This record gives sequence, C-alpha cells and structure tokens, in this order.
Amino acid sequence: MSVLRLRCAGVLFEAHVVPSGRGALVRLEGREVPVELRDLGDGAWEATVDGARWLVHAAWEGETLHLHARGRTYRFAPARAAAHRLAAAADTSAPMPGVVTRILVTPGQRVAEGEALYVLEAMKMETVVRSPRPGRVRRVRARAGEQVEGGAVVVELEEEG
Amino acid sequence: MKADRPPFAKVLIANRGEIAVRVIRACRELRARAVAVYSEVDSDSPHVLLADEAVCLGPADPAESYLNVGRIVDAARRMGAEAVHPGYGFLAENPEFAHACREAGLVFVGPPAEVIAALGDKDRARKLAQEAGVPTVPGHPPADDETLERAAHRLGFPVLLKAAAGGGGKGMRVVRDPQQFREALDSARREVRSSFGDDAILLEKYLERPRHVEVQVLADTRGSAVHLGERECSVQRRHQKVIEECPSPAVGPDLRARLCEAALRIARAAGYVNAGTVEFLVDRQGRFYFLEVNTRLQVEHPVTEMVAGVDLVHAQLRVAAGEPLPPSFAEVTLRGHAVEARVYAEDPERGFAPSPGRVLCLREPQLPGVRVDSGIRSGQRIPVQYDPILSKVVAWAPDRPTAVARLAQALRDYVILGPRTNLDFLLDVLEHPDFVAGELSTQFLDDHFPTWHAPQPEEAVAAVAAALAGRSRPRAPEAEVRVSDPWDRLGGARLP
Repeated sequence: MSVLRLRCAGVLFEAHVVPSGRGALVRLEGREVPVELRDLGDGAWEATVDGARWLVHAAWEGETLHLHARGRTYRFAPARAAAHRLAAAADTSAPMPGVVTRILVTPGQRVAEGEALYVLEAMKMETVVRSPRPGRVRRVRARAGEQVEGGAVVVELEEEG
Repeated sequence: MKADRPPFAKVLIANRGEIAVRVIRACRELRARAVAVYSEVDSDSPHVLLADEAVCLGPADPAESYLNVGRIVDAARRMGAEAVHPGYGFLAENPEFAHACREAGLVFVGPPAEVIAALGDKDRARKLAQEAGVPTVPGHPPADDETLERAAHRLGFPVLLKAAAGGGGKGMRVVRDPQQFREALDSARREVRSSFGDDAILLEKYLERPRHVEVQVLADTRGSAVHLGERECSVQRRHQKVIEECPSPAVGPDLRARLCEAALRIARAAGYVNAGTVEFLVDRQGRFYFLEVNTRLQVEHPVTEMVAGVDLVHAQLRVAAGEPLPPSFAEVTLRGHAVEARVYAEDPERGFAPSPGRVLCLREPQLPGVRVDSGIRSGQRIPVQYDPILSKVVAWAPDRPTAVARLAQALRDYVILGPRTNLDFLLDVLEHPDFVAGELSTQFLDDHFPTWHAPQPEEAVAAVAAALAGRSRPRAPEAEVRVSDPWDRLGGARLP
C-alpha cells in the first residue's frame, strides 16, 4: 500500500492506494473506492469506478498528473510541491514565464499593500505585479530585460515589524 | 465566383497558429499553393507542416519574424507567391505592409494601404463615420499626456484609453479613478509601442454595460459592397473577445437593418475593398455608436460563415484576384445560430496569466454542427512570444439554446492536457443563467466572474487520479519531460 497526498484545485486528498488486479483499491476519507484502469493508448484510459465506466485522459508532467475526466480538466500535484509554491507566492513571484520589463522598487524601500513592484511581459501582455501586503523590499533578484521562469522570485519582501 | 479557376497560383500566409492553418486550408480548397512563414520556435508548428512550402523568417521575437515587413515581402518574392494573406493580428492592419506588398508586385489580400491607414487611424475613422451620418461615442483624439488628462476630466470618468493604431484590445484601459489616469496612460503607451511600434493613444467616454455588436462587410474592386449580418461579441475580458455569436440575441430585424445600413455607408465612404468589420456599441435603449473598423478577417469570422453559409476566406481571395462579388451575396439569409468560444493557453484562476507549455495530450471534439479551428498539435510546445490563442470551437444549431448547449458539450469533449487553458472557465460562462438568457454586456465577465475557481474534483475523479498515480508511470514520450518518480510516496505513514 502507498499513501499519496495529492492537491487539486485547492483541495488536499490523502489516498491509500492498494494495487489490485488491473487497478487499485483507493481509500479516500475513510471510504473505499475500487478503481479499474485499462490503458487505451495515446493518453486515453478506461476507468471503472464503483462500477461506472468512464473514458478519461491522463498525462504526466514532472510530478504533476494532468487528468481530463467527465468533461473537466484537473491537475493533481503532490502536496509537497504545492506547499513550496504557496511559500514562493508570498515572495511576489512571477505569475508566469516572461520578461521583466521594469522594476519599480529598490532595496530598502517601504511598499504599501497593492503597490506596483515590477512589470512582467509575456505573450504580448503586460502584467503589473503588486505587493500582497505592506512591507519593505529586501532584495531585487532580477534586472529589467531579464527573462524569468514562472514562480521565479523577482522582488523579496520582508514583513514590516 | 467560378469554382474551376484558382484565384492565385500561390499565396503566402503571413501569420501563424490557427488562422494560418485556416487560410492555408482555404488556399488548398481553391487549388492555390500555400506558402507558410515561421519563426525559429515555430519550425514544427501545424501551419508549417500543412503548407506546400515554408520559409523561416528568423528568431522568435516578432520584430525578427512575423512583424518583419522586409523579410516577409522578400520571402513572398523568392517563393514566387502572387498574393499575401495577412490573417489577423501581426501585420494585418499595417498600411506599410500592404504598401510594401503592392510595391513588390504582390496582391495584398485586404483593402488598399490608403484605406487601412484611414480606418486604422481611429480618430480619422470617427470623423469618417460622423460625416457618413453614423453616431460615435464622445471622445478626444490622440494627444500628449496633459491634454488627454484634461480631456478626461472634461468628458467625466470613467474614460477608455485606446491605441490609435491596431486592435485586439491591446493598450485598452478603463480608467475610473482620476488618480490612476497617468499610470494607466503610461502602461497603455508601453503596451501599444511593443505591439504596433506606435504609442498614440486616444480617449473615449466609457459607456456602462453596452453590447458589442459588429457587422461583417465584403466589398469587391468594382464598387459592390454587401453585409453578411451582425455578430455579438459582448463577452469580453480586458477588451479581448472570449465568446462570439451570430446573430445577436438582442438585435431584431429593424435594428439589424439600421446597423447593417450604417456599416455599409461607412464602408462605401471609405472606399472599402475586401472583408472588413464595422464595430458598434449598442446601449440598453438600442441606440448604437460606431466604434471602429477592423480592416481584416476577424478571429470570430466562423460564426458568420456558419450562419450565412459563405466562406469568407474564399471570398477574400476571389475579391483580391479582381473577381466581382456573386449576386447571391446580396441576398444572403441568416440561418440558425452559431456560437464561438476562443480557447486560450491561460490560467483563469491567476488573472488569466498566459500559460505556455507542452501539449501532452490533445483530442478535439467531434459533434454534428461543430467546427474546430486549431493551430496546435500534440507534443507542440506553445511558445511564450505570441498571443495565447490555441483554437476556436464553433457550434451551429437551428436555434440559440441548442447552439449554446452544443458548444458546451464540445468543450466538455475537448481534451488539452499540458498548458493550462480556459476550457473550464468557458463552460462556466456558457452555463451562466444570464448567458443562457442572452442578457449580455461588455461588462458581463466583470459582473458575473470577478473571480473564478477551477472545479474541484468529485471523490470518484480523485480516486481515479490516485489509482493512476499509484501505478508505475508510463515512460516519458519525449526527452524534455523529466523522468522521475511521479509521487511523493510515503510508505504507509499517516500524516497529520
């Protein structure tokens, strides 16, 4: 048996998974759900859940499972990675990969909640990244013109004491 | 328009993505050879693989590729193309490009450079509309920052900032707070400069909760002009259309006749040639105001095609070759209802931030009356440099409720795994009671979807995810996908 902690759309699922035959017995919130899986190729799977048969599509990207089921698209990420992202968000990280076009603050500067910190351009759209809370700029970790990855920490804030 | 003779032997398509694919297919149908152009990041994009020939323009930066007039004209001449189709966006509304094509002996599939310049200058276009007796929204022409700020105070807030050149919502800002006027103006100028290389901004009084209704016009080189009915494109986010339909649920026969007649008056006054769109705002009382003319094929042209039973790209190519509009175009009747949803690689939960990435799994919907105009393929990496539109899904049915339900079913059947997309957001919009009732305005999304959250999986879906995750993971199909243990296995220990 393995225990998986998966986060999807802000919900944490802790699943006990016991492989059985073509699928697994999954225990979620104390309820046991038998799941059978058949690989149909090209990302398509037949999933039999509690006797109901569904056509679903799945793809892995790194540690994230992308799943299309019952007309909707989901991302299941291991809870550990999700926790890292939440911590990074408090540091006003870049919301997407792009080019930092302008830095609007300098280290040591006090900023109010909602104050513009820097401007990011991606796919021809400008996004102004604003401070989520009042604070002081500890460090600026990118220069104007620099390409950054999504989630990159561009401006570090410290709490105003 | 005779079906037996190709309008051109060879056409270069100066664009990428779904619209390039759409135009290349139309060329094929007319037995014209299609030449694609591409940037280095697009070398194995669908439009390149579909074309008869393809030319690499240069690096990913649009200025080095899809916006580079010299390289595109040079490619067209070198490949022996007779005509250049610009698609939408990029150089489609750039008069210098149309002029450069003409100078190089190439037919530009669109209006003459002078007409693009006159209508692309939104201030000149407003004057032209006024002279043609069509009402316009009060505003102020492009000027320096101080003049615009004074004009904004005179008009009264809220005001709307708009790029004098180009379209697609670039540079558009609604300013409600006079304190934020300068910041918004600076930001609009920068965005417009990087998109069109011209930072002129004009000002308009912002109307509250109008509908966006536009009329498709088509004119030949012999002085004939027809309209093909209206489209409603009120569901917009940051002035970017998201869902469009034909006909408008708010336009009856009388308003339609007046709107279409006004659109034709503007087209004739401008000496318009080829396909174009005259945009209006319609207020709650059914009064309409001229907005602007888009001197190109629109993203949302398929809804008109499905309801009017015409192929606008075929018509564009025929008209560009000098053929007259067939008499049947003057008697087009609108049949049924079509609704289009634009599918973007973006994250609706995080302010619609673009979400580039690799397409890991792709399955397009296949339903009766459904059309998918797509520019992506499985395994493709969606580049960060361009507009995040992936495809458009269009559903036709005899009536609006059936068309809306059919589009929703098509979106539920659409599998795009990899980049985040707006598919789930679109579904929630289509199912909103006000959308279903046709109660639309350009504020629709701000009013009803100020925030949005991705659907939470039901327990059975989470169980499937866990069962998939608990299996040994399939081998990564491509080297770029990291190979590592997919899940953090915790060996039976219960965690708090």
